[in-house]
Amino acid sequence: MENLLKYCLSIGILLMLGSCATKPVLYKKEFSESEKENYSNLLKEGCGLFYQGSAPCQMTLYEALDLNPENADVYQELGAPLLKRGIISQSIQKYNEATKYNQLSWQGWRGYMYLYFYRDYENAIKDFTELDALTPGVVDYPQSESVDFQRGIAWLMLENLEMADSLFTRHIEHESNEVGVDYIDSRAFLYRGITFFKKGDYEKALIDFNQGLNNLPDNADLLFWKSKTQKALGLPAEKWQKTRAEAKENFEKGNHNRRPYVEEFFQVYEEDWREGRRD
Amino acid sequence: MHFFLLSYLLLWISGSPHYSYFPDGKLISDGIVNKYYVSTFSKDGLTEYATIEYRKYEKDDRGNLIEERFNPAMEPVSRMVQKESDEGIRLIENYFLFRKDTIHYEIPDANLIFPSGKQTAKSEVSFTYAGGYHRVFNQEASWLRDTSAANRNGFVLQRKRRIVTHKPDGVVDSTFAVMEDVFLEGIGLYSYEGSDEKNRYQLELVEQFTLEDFEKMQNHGIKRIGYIHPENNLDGKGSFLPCGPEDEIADYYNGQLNRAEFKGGKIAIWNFVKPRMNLENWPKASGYLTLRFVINCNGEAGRFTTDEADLDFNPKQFDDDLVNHFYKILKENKDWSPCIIRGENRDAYTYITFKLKDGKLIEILP
Repeated sequence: MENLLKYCLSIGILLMLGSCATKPVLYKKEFSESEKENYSNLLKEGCGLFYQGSAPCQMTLYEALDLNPENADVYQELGAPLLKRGIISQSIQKYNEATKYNQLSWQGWRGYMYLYFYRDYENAIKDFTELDALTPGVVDYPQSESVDFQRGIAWLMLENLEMADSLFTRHIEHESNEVGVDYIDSRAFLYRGITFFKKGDYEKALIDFNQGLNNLPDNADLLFWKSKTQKALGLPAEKWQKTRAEAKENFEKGNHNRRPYVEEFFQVYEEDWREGRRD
Repeated sequence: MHFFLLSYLLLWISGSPHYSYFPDGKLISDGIVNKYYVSTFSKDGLTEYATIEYRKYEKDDRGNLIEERFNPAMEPVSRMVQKESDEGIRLIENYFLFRKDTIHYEIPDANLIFPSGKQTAKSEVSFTYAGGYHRVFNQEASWLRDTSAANRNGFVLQRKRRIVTHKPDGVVDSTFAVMEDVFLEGIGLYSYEGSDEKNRYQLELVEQFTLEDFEKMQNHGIKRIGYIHPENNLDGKGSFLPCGPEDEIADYYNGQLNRAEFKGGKIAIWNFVKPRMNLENWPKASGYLTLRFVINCNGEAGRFTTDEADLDFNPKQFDDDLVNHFYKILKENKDWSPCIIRGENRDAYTYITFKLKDGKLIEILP
């Protein structure tokens, strides 16, 4: 029995030596913490050499995360194609991680996702409001739209017209001071005009739709809502019908609001021009 | 962008290791793979990025050195065959993959890419791509100095390289770069640094793998985000066929406003779904039920699959019958808008999400 044990041990040692002898000595770099952080950032940018969400892009990002598991930008970049391609069960989680590690950069973007992609207005308002609180005295523009404008939309969709009016007005006043009223994105006037319309304040609605048309002439959405307002104000039928005809004509020319990826809020469709559909 | 980048990488990063600087014997015969980080820094400071490159080295039966390069997903990118002689190392074959094409370099017999001793090696190679795009590379490579790194001896090889590009529109571009490669004993190419008029370049060895290990790593199974298996989906094998190759299926938004979608947009989907939908059996159903699928260039839909999440965006599973209910509704539609990219109808992945709350459909997305 003792001999057998010795025999087995010897065999084991020989096998170990054998495996050591054949195992090649291969190089592996030991990175410092600053090198890891630096390469993580560089690789995140390098993902852009490949189509977003492709295998090489993903594997570059996984490498970047291995180097720095707290790199917020990498989580965002992993989340973007999940967002765009309808993989809702995974997308927000990536943006949650991005927000966790860089709230200032990504909480507003997550709010934009909630608002435009998922029509989750409560979460959108929460994100925009928390972001706004981080930067007192500064208006934030996640995804190039002010938090006030985006909150205004969310409140409007929740039918809280007072809050919507308040936020759109704050946005318009701020932009008027910054760039001048004639250079504000016409959608601010479209949506505040719709807010007034829903409140039954047709005079104010008409002023907003006209200002919107001043900023973006011939826009079918503004003309469409203007015609509805003219009708609601009791203007002669030929007047609002003429505006409606202009709206339809411009819609057919392609002068109407759309956005990439998702439907625009209050988007006008071909079907809207069917006889009497939205009168 | 890819095309330019790829050919750039191929040439500027192509320091060619002297045979004696490779791992010995069995390792190189069996094959070894070096993993590098390759960085680019624009001199105006506006752009900087890095990518991962794998280089596989092995000797063939005739003693030639085969070098193959792979992208970060370990997919093949290019291949070089090098032959050693008394004068140095000669390039005898070189090609790279671009889209569906394999683009071969024109290589004259009289070329040396790596000097013997302290001589200077000269080479001129070129390739031509569709439409008359022609690129010529001239290189002089010479020993610069001895060095050491990572507890190994080595040397620095300096490469001076000019690239002249003749474009189909008659424009000729020219760039000149100087690179310094560091070769270490037992490793081969360890690092390089250099620059041309616009950029600074840097390569660094990260890790080495045996070929056996690398081949295992290549089986990672990672697909593009949004990929749908042609057979493993709700349709089963079915009769749906994309118009083009599998790997050229676009995403619905690639056509910008000419998206792959339900014809007539959101209002039309509502009008289509509402009269066909009956949620009586699922009064508590809540969450995001997404049907992802492909719309081919002819406006036909197939390869339906699902993504399912609760209203807090956590993964969940809806009742199979409910999934099937919405699947059947969408399958009834036979006329979809294909994605149009630069005037061409394309196959594209797309999706429709039904947002449910307490058994009611409250939104259709996107």
